[in-house]
Amino acid sequence: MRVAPVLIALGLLVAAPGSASADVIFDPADADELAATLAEATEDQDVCYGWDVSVDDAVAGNSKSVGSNFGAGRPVSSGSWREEVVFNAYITYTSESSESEDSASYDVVSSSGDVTREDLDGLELDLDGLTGEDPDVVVGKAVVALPLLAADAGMAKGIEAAPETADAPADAALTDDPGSDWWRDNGGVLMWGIGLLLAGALFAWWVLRNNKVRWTPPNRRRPAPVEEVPQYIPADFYGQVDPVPAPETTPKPEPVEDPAERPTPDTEHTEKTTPPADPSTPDEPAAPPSEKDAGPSEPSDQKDKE
Amino acid sequence: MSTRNKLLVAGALGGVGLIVLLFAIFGGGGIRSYLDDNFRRQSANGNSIVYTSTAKPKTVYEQIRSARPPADTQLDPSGYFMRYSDDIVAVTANGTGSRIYIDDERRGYSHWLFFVGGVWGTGGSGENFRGGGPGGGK
Repeated sequence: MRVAPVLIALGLLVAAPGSASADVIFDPADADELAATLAEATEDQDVCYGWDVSVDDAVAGNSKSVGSNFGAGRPVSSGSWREEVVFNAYITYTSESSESEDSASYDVVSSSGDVTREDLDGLELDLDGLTGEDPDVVVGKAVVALPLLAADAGMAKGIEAAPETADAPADAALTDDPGSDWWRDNGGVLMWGIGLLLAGALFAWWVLRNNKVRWTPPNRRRPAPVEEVPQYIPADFYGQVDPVPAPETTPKPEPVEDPAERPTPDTEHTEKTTPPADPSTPDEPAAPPSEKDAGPSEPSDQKDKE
Repeated sequence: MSTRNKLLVAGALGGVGLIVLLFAIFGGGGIRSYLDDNFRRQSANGNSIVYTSTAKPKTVYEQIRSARPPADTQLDPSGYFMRYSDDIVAVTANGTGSRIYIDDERRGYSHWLFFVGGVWGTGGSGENFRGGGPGGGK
């Protein structure tokens, strides 16, 4: 039973990362650190991990970045392992004078086929950055994720981690401001809401503006025309003439009166339209009031006479 | 389209916008309330809480990330680390399932310094993969 740990330890010694050679993607220290991280994962999961990045530079020519749990610069084929997962990438840098853009492609190859590129894409690592300013960061994140993908695919058990309970170094402190969680969660929805609200308000304003002349508020609208019923129906309303005129509709001739009995136009006009003359009005011609006109029912006049 | 119908369309647009606005303002809580609502609490020590899930770490990570997008994510063969404005969340394996840790940013950075040190702050092993690429991109 004690033989197994010894064999494993010997195997790890053989598979210990070697020193980094010149690398087109990584700094030597970073390549060594990445290889060491993979070696730890291999120890826990019994799966070989590696990377193989080919760079086609129009200026510098072709070069490669290769590494694995065996060390930087050493491919996964350096040892014999039951399972292996490798991140492959192909980056093409065109010359400045070329009209073509830089391009990159990548893939994940596993011996069992359980881990695929789609699994890596599911982590949303923004692998478009392979042609960006920091391809080493992108490749590093993709390679470090291989043990996670292997565990998720069932190729190996997941590696557990426990929080460090010891005190952190005195200089350990977060530096960058991560920004607002609320804005990150709801900023997009908030902007959509504001946009829709403004769009509705602007549309309503536009509609009202364009219909200002024709449209009046409901309380200022004219009432609907009322159908008027004529006082009488003409005789030929239905297209036929009634031979006998209706007695109600036939205008009666006015009876001829004796001109002597008719009031004179002046009198009639005075009686109908002129208000009773005020005797005190100076504009009126001074007519001496007779006793007959004054009448006995005017005590004031009587007092004056007395 | 009559004026009345146009005004109805404008009102509908504004109404939908108002609903979306209210949903954005009052809709969702933070990462802590989300974890509390969706995972089983295992233990707590002040602001440090541990949850468990029967799902695998990658599934849990994708679920949390899509529901409450973190400001930054750091991966390691041991797990997924997400940084929020006031908290740090770590998802790691727990047998066939997952264990989810949430700490305030200060304690979380101290707890997971080995994994995120030098990336989110000072005092760690230095930022991973600082550069050294060919620099031939354009």
